[in-house]
Amino acid sequence: MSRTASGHEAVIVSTARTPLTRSWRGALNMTHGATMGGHVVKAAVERAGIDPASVEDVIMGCGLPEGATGGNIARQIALRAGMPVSVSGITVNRFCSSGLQAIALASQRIMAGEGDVYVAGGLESLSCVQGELNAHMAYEGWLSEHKPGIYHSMLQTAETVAARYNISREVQDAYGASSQQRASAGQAAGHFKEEIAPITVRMAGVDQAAGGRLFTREVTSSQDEGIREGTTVEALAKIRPAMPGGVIAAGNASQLSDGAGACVVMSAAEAARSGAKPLGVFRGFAVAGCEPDEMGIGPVFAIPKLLARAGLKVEDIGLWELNEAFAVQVIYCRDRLGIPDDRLNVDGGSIAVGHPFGMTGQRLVGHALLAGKRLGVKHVVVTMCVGGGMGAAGLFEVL
Amino acid sequence: MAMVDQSSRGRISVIAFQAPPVNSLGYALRVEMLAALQRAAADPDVEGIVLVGSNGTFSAGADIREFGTPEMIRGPSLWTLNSLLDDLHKPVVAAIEGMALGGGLELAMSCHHRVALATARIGLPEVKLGLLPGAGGTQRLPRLIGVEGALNVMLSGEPLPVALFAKSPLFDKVVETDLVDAAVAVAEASAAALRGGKPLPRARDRKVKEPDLQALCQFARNTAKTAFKEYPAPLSIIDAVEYGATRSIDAGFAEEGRLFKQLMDGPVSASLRHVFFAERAAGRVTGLPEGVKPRSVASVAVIGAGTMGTGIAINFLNAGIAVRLLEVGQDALDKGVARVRQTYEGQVKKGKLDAAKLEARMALLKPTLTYADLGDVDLVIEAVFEDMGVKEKVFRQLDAVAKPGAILATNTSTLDVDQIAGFTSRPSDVIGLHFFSPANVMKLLEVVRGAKTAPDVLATAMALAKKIRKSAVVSGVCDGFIGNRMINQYSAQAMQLVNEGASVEKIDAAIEKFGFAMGPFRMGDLAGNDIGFHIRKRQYAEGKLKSKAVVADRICELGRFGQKTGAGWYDYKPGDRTAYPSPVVAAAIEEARAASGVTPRRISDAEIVDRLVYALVNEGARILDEKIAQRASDIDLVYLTGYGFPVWRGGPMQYADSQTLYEVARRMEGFAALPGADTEFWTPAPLLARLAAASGSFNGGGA
Repeated sequence: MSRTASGHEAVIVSTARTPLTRSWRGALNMTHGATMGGHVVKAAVERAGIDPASVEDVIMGCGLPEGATGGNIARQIALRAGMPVSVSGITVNRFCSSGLQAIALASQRIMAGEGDVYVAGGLESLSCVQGELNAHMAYEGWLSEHKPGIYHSMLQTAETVAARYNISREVQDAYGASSQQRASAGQAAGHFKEEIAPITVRMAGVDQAAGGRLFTREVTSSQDEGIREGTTVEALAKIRPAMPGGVIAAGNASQLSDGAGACVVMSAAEAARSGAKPLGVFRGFAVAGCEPDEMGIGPVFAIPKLLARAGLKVEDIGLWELNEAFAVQVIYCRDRLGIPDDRLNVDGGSIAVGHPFGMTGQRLVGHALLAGKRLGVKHVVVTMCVGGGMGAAGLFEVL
Repeated sequence: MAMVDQSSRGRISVIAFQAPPVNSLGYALRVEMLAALQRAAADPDVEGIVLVGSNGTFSAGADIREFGTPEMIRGPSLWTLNSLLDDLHKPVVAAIEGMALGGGLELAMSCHHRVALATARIGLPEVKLGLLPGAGGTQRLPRLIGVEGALNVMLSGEPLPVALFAKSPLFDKVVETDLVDAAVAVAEASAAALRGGKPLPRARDRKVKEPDLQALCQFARNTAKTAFKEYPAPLSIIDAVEYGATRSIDAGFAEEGRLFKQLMDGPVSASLRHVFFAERAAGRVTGLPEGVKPRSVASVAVIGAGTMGTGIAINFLNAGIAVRLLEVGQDALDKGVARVRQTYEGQVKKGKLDAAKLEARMALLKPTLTYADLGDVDLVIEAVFEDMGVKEKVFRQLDAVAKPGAILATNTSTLDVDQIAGFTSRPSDVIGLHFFSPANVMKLLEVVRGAKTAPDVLATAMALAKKIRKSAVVSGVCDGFIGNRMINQYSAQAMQLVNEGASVEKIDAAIEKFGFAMGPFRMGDLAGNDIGFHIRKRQYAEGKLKSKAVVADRICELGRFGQKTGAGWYDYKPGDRTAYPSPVVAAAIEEARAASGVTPRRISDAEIVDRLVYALVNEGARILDEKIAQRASDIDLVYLTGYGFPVWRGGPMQYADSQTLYEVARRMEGFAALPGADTEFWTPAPLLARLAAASGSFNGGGA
């Protein structure tokens, strides 16, 4: 039986993303947010086969919306994608769930009857933004004293989760290696190909053989850069921890990456009218807060809310995309919620593929819908922990 | 002789620089160049100008002797010349042969046209002295060759072949021969174009073409931050380029000037300029008669085929000098030869040497077991066990076989060179050549001048050092010479810090953060703690040490000699050079503290660094006062090239100068007042006290 959506339901009809490239060294290390964002929005619109002028709003999530991804980057992206000036743009920020938040927001506006066609997604350029953050008055006095966890680095919060819930380095490295192995197999099987829109850009590099000479060159990026075939637990165990005496290391944490992705979200009615082919239906979204100093466990609180509202249980979900900010928090959430390992991050996650904060939510939604279809499952959940102590979770039905 | 020669080629005035050897743009040349340019500008018969070098080079740039002196900016400055060129209404062509470096290239870029010989090289080497090109280079070069290329030229500081830029607006023409003819032709053509209403091309009127300017500059900055860490000049270069490229060239000039002054006034450039002069000064040996001629050295013998002996031999083989390698046993000799071959094979593997050269070098190495084979060599260096009895045997045998006039050198690191010379009938031919391990890698060579060492023997050693590319520093005879005598105080102080409460890890970390390549304990584990143990035992016997190094001795008694025994101040795992904190060592330290009744206290990183560095400085002051070292900068060079002292801090004496000696002395007095302190140790040496009182400095004098 083929499933359908009706009326004011929101459907995702296309997905397009750049490959995720290594920050500072990768292909997108000189690429402006509007360039990469414009590229994926254009591709998503083309894949949906819709008239760009029909888009109500371009909603882009971004974890660090400033500098090269600032100035309401979504509006710049709309223009850079070649959309008419009549198409609006809004940038949303909920750190690492920004991309998912953007898709939820588009869906909710459709459900509210506010519009029929939206582009929603996210982007991040750590290469061009993270080193240049405006730190002026970044800390508030009362919070620093009473809720210092709100200003902890994500690394610190991951160490806290490891210590508080007694999760060893060995278990984390094993998870990290498994993520690489799954992603590597997924890449070889072409599981990412459909969602990627190759991009040609100019990048900078250093030629160490020529005494550290700087160079720039044009490259076409068509594959995620972080996936390493043949990664073993033994190799990961040798990596030095990021903090002296800590357990979080490069092999069991998400990779810093650059990238952008976008989906076209439409009302089911408009999709049917225009002949677009929906990939899935938006079925709900939930957020929940937790202690800032252990932000990684956020999904543990968001997921039950989401499932309860939809009247579903953990076992009803055929596929989970639980963002791998750190192996430690994925392990904790998985075991606490009883998520079966064979339904979790089947093609690996951010540890292998990379994690451009505000973009990841979009990647996970697109991937969950395509993978869900491939695996013949009905419900997929996309969820992640969020800096500041939150979890976000979205439920989709695969069509 | 005039510094410029002005002649006419038709209606073109050719101004040739005549300031040998490299036409440095010192004040005198600038004055004459300005006058020549003004004459040509005013002469109605002149329609164009060619600037050309003489002696095969255009100009190597600013006269470094003027750096930091008022002469540097005394008008006419390089700025005056550049702005005069900008405003000149006749075409000016720079004809470049040999080198156009630094200010020389900046001058050329202010000309309307540049023509170069294909063999010429250009570069902006200012970064090597911790500076940026301060006469418009950061602004004109990106306008001529683009930002990426300009950054590479300025950040590397290397001279580069003009062919790399032949297609850029940097050069109108690159020719194989007849440079001046070509330059004159370009000047004539430009003058004709000018008459035809075409404005003269100026670098300053060009736009910087870089669509990703901010991204590229930030990438360069991120790269520079890791590649150059403590050095501010690369970042300033990038900043100056970006500033002028986003605004105007004049705004860029102003920013370049501001950053140049900031770098020039900063400690890192001061250190690098100090090192530049220190390297040149070290070659000048005081007290040598005028015109002393070095002896010729065509063959060398090395006695002892251990790590040190073979390392020394490799230096000479690399320079194409035949080496006899002598050992007492066949087995040790074979091992030595194998070690030399292994070193070369390693280089071949890394692509640093080709196989033919390996064989050619090995062919120069002649192993032998008999002293009689050393009868015809020009220089013998012994690298045998550090024991006066052993040295005596070696030198008596050498005295018997060496030909008259052969130089007899000892590689001893601490023993009395004069006593060793006394074992021979020819003490004037004996000298110390103290190499540092690994001898084929370490730059430093302490040339130890004995009481009777002949001037020409000393001159030979200095010339030879240059040939084998060592940084040679002359030292008088004393226990440990310059380097080890000072390091003994430093090590003793490190031990004292341990006794008082600091862990070996903390001490190493603090001094490594200061910039040392390796802290005292990691260094000891690498070099072998038994070496110091052996020396201490001799010094205890000679009554030269006031107190025993209890912990250090204990570590050695436990057989913890360092990496080679798998344990030292730290623990090591097989095949892993990582130093892991050792509970055994911690327990030995606890025990020693308890035995001496010391209550450990927390010691700050700043105190650790000051006490270690000032221990060096105070002994350095004595060494200088006793004339063991010829000059303070020689001491600095020893520490920079042999002991891993951070180059950007200029060496221990320069560092002390930068802190002001008054402050150094005051800090020492503070250490003397600490509970349980060795007040004698912290009494400022007489020279230090004198200089501190007179606001003088080790490197600048003043007392």
